[in-house]
This record gives sequence, structure tokens and C-alpha cells, in this order.
Amino acid sequence: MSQLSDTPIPWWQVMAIGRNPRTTLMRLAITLVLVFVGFRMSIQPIRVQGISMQPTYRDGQRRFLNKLAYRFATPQRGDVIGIQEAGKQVLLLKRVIGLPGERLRIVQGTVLINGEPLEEPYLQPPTNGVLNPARWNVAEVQLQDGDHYVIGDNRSMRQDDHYFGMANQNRIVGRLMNP
Amino acid sequence: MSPLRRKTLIGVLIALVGWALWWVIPSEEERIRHVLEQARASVSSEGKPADGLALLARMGQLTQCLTRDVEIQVDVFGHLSGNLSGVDEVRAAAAGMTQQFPGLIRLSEIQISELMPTSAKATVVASINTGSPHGQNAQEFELRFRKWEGRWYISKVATVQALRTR
Repeated sequence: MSQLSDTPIPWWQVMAIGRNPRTTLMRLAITLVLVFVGFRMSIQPIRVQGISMQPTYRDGQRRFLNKLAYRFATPQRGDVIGIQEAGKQVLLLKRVIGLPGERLRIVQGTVLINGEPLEEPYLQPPTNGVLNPARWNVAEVQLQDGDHYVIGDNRSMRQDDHYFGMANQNRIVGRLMNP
Repeated sequence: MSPLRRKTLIGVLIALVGWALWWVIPSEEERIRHVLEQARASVSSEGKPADGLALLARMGQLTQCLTRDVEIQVDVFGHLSGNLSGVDEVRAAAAGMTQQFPGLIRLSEIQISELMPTSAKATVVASINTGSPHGQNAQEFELRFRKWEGRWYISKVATVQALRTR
């Protein structure tokens, strides 16, 4: 037995599976479990469906949500966030334009925050000559604590076909990681 | 048998009977889940829609899950909106819907809360697969339950809105 244990282990074997394969296997399993749990807790893969965030995000694109982004912070204006639409799996992808406590309205396509026009550099005009933003109008709303006003980047579509409004903080899942 | 052994045996027997009762007699939450499953099965279609007697049987099954004054408030953006009240109105609408838009309905993320002796609340995600390429739709609902003569009934169904306009 002592002869066996004294036999030097080839360097390639040490590199591949370590000095003790059983310990290596155990470490590998623990690491995989930790990575899996960490990934599930902090990141959610999503697939964009629909046209409301065009041209910034297109139908079928795959992205990741950072679920820890708002654990110690609150959503900021301009953030693209995931909102629970139906349970934890079906999410809405929208951009935050109004924060709690603010007054918001939309006049002829221009967003007014507390009466001041909001600059929206992320709104890119489509190539077909359609206005983005189109001349949407929304009556003034007062955002309460925890309410964030969210909207898609595609404002060239008909206002009635675009789902937007106030999202409560408790339905916000996270922020898009790779905007 | 020594007194200690007898007491231990009695203790084990009591624990076993308790466990068996817990296992056999469903909890209130399980009873509510059963009503939900019964309602789901009555409006869900696999393959071709039910007609004639089968449809009648299904609607009878649905009626057993609802209170007489059941209220349904549906508002799904871009799809449908409307209110239904009373079991007859709901049954007629459900019969029409299962015929016109047959699809496999699944319930997931069922959460039962505010469980009181005669009332309870549940949130549930219902998804319907109509078989078309974009035929998968999901919607979250909030349901209110009422208990009457030992049985739970659905008394109100409302869609949960992710976004509010006001």
C-alpha cells in the first residue's frame, strides 16, 4: 500500500482531475450547484416578443435581466426593466420614464415630467418616415410611492395598441443587463 | 410489556393516526385547488371542442364550481374585456368560448392567501395554447372563494393588470 501511495501522480493527471479525484468531483459538484443557484437567483434569460420596444429591441432577440439590480436601489429614469405580466415567467419589457412623486403627461408625443419636456435620446425614428414619437396624448397622472411610469420605445405605433402605464415596484423583476 | 414501552407504542400509534388523517383528509387549500382544477378542466379542450352532451356535462361541472352570484371581470389588453355576473351568464359565455376558441388551458403559480373559515383568495396564471404558432397566451387572475355547506365555490374572478393607467 505504501508503495502505491508513494507513486508520483503524473502532472497531466493532477491538472485534469487533481490529486484526489473524489475531492475534485465533490468540489466540481458544489461549484456547479452554487453557480446554478446563483444564476437562477440573479439572472433571468428573456426572449423579446412583440414590437413595442422597437427599434431598440427587436422581436426574437435574447437578453438577460439582472434580478438583483433593484435589491438595494430603485429604478432610474431610462432603465429598461422587466415587469411581471403573468406570474414570474411572462414579463413586459418597458422603459422607465416617470418616477414616484412626479407628475407626468404626454402632449402630442412629448413627455412632460412636472411640466418639463423629457429628452428621450433612445427614440430612434423608423426609416419609413413615420413619426417616433407619434402624437400621443395622455392626461396628467400623479405617481404615488412605488409607482413607476413605463412605456415602450416604439411610439410610432397606434397609442391604443401600445400597452403602457404605471407599474408598481413589487411587480418589477429586474433591469436589462445588456441594453 | 413494560409501562415505558407501552407509552412509547401509544405515542407512535397516535402519531401514525395523525399522519394518516392528515394524508387522507385534504386541507382547505387542497380543496380550493381541487375546485380550480375542476373549473379548468371544464373549459379546457384538447383536440376538437366538446359538443352536445359533452358540452352540457362540462358546463354542469363548471356550475358546480361557481356561486350563484359569481362575478367575472376580464380585461386583457388587446384581446378582450367585459364583465359577467351570475352563474347563467358565465355558463353561457364559457360554452360559447370553448366552442369558438378551443384550447388547452393550464394553471400555474397557484398561490392561496387570506384563507379564512368561509373565504379565501387565490392568484393563478392561466395559459391557453390554441395550437397556432402564436397561440400561447398567459394571463394572471385573482380569484375569490366562498365556502358554503362545506364546499368551496369561486365567487369572483378578475384579471390582474401589470400596468395601470390611473
